[in-house]
Amino acid sequence: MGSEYCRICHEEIGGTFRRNPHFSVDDGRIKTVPSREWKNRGCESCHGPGKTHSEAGEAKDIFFFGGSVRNPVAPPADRVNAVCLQCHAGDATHAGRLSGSHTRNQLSCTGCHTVHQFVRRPLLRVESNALCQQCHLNVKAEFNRPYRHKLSEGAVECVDCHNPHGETPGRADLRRVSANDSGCLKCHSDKRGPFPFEHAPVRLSACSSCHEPHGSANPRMLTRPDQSRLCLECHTTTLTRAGGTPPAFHDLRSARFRNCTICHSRIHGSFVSRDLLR
Amino acid sequence: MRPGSAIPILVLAGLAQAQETPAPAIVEKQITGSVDLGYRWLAGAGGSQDVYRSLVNLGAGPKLFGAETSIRRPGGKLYDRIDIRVWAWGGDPYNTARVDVARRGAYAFRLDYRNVSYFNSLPSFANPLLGQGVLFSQRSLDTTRRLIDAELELWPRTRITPYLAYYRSSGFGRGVTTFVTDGNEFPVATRLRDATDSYRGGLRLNFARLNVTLEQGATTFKDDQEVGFADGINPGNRTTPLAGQDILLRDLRQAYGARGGGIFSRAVIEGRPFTRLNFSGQFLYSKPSIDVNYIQQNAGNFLLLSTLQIFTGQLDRSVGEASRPHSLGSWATEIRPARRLRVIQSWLTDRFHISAGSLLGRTLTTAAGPIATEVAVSDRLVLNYNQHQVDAIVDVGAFLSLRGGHRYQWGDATARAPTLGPDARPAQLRRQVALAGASVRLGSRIDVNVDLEAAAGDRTFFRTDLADYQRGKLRGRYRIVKSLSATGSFAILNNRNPALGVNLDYQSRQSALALYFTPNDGNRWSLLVDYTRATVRGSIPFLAPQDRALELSRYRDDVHHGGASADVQVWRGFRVNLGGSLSVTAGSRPVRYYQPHARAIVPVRNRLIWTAEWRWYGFDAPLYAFENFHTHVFATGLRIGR
Repeated sequence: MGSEYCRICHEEIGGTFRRNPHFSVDDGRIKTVPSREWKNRGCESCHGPGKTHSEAGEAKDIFFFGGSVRNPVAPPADRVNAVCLQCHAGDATHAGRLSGSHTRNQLSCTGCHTVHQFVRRPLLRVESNALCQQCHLNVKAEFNRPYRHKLSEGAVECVDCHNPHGETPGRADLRRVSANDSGCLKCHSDKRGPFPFEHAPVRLSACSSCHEPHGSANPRMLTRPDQSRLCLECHTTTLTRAGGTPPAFHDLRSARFRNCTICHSRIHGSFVSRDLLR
Repeated sequence: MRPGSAIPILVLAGLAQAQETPAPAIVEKQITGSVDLGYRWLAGAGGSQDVYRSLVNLGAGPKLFGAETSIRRPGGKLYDRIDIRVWAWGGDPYNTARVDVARRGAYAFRLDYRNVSYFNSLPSFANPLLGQGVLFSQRSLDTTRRLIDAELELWPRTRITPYLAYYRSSGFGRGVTTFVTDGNEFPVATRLRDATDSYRGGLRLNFARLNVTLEQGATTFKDDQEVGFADGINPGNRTTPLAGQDILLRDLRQAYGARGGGIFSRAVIEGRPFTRLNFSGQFLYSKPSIDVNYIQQNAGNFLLLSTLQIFTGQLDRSVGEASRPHSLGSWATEIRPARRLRVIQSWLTDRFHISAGSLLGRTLTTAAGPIATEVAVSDRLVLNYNQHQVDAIVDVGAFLSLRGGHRYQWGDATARAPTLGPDARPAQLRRQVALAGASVRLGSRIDVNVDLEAAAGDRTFFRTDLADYQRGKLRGRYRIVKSLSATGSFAILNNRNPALGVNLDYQSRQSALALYFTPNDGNRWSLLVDYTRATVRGSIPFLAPQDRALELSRYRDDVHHGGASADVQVWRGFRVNLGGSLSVTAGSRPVRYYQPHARAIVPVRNRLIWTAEWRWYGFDAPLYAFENFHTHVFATGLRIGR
């Protein structure tokens, strides 16, 4: 039918769409998949054939992504995403999409991205941190606690650590850096190692074993205010688990032994000390 | 006449009009941008400035709050789009810049730069002398981290897309750390400098039903740290005699030189061979390794605990190495056996082993003569982790999706038990998780999402790991009227590990509610109010090292958080924003943190806006009153451009 027909009724969308990167489909500079060209038919590349819709004027005759006055009920996320993934399935950032938490929770691409307008890259409805916080209200609150990553100051963004499209299964959609390391090491690269003497939970578990990465009332974003408690919750002999009990001279009645990292200063891993002392 | 029947007529009329209208002229080069310059003052600063710098760290002086420019040049030979944005330059602790340059269909280049200051000196943290009134953390840092992330993509969105990328993370600065000998520890100055460079390149192959990404990369790493102390009285000197002598540090030089690197490979495949089948898989492999040279020379009076001998000098030399081959593979398949049913099956395996060796030569100077030793130590850490998950999702209708599934996690890890000797100790992981959830969409007004997990784990790597747990999340959005909507969420996690010697009991709850009021699309005024309540309760017994007595580690965290933001257009673009956040924590470490603000945006002339902002930072820690601080931060500036 052609996009020119669509713009006659959908004038406002047609105007803003020219500034949108998706207009490249309509002007023929980009094919949606290598084998298919939609020059001058960009609208139909996503919404499906428009002839019947234009003749009858019925919303049911065309694929709506939802939220419109005529068709307020959004279709299931799977159907919306299938349209976008015709082109975007191969994006490198979508490698873990199928096992991502947003896929599981039925969040569609258009829940975050706007397809017609040009607001900000990568076509997000609002600024990326604010967008995440619209749903993740509790995380927004955590970032207002005193010891936190500097999100509101612009030093980091939610998407620096998390891949909203999904990463490896079961890892809170945390990004991986240098192809195969925890996303935290993107900035904290001095803790990447490998160290000749590793602190096992840094590698075997997540950084969140000891830290609250979004924000905490405890210094260094620790999960406990008292270092000795944090350490001793694991370092108590249990034969079937990793860990071990400190020798008896660690008398907790003395302040020096309640501050473990005073001596065990290389707590994330040491180059020379098996007890992580230096 | 049906409402739609007029449309073909309108379409034809419109088309005729469109045909008569001349084609839009090619847009010439467009340059837009703005600069936000200003000045910041701090006033009424009180309390601990070390804690202010650790938490806020905004300074006074002239600032470039931000600048951005966009250049559009449709049909340009070298580029058709350039976007440059910078934020918070001019002495601010967090500077960022981003550059995007592209020519459609030819290339896309992206550069991200960040310069982040990190100051951390908290009197109550790592301070054994706090009880004596010394407000000096022995783990303080004043460092800077710089990050550069660049990527060049050629022929984006074509059948073959090559790309090259470079990443650098470097840190430098100084701090305070601790020098530890057998009988004592001494706070000493340290200088830090590390850098990681990562280079990668790859190909993206895009076919109609198959996408493949192949990537190869390499990293280099260096870490040079120095620790030193010379001539003076160290605050850690122990003047209560041990073995008849004071324990003193007179001189120390310690230097690390670590050099490392490695390769990494990544392969990603994604396919849709049939309408009802999708699959994706990843394979990641890396093999970083590191070589270490270390030297330490110290003089003073020190105690050798094993023989209760006093020594006056020590020379340590060490060389070490470590490598970590690491492979991670994942595979997911989505099958649609029926129109309304999807089954997603995913599998993950993550395996690495770290093997390390170190040779330490030590010479101690004692009254009886030098004592020389040489110790070779090897270490290893092994992980084999696996996870399999199946989810079935049923779209009952446009308004409801239900899902259920199962996850099985299993694996083993071998780690040397610290301080207990060279023996490696194996640990096992085994956990069965049941999954369920639902998504409800009632018109355009109500969205509700429920996510539930319940697990039974009989083996965990660590005592505090998830074992028998139940996790639930509920999120909902209700659009009450066009201009008023409410969002709420509730999350709960119960984790118990009743195993002998563990007895972990943990529960966290988070409830949040936000109201958005935007009458007339927020053109005149808007209001956002949110409130969050979070609680954490945890208890686990542990053995006190000194007497092996059983004690209980209890943790309590009760947080009330409130936030508000009211935006009002006073007159012709003159806008005022009032709001702030308040976080009140009770429990194991009570803290109150207030951050109210007021902001005014006043258009002065076309393309000239005056901005003014006031913020208040108030930190109040009742148990550590010496850490309290409060300060007013004023900023004003001019935004030039559009």
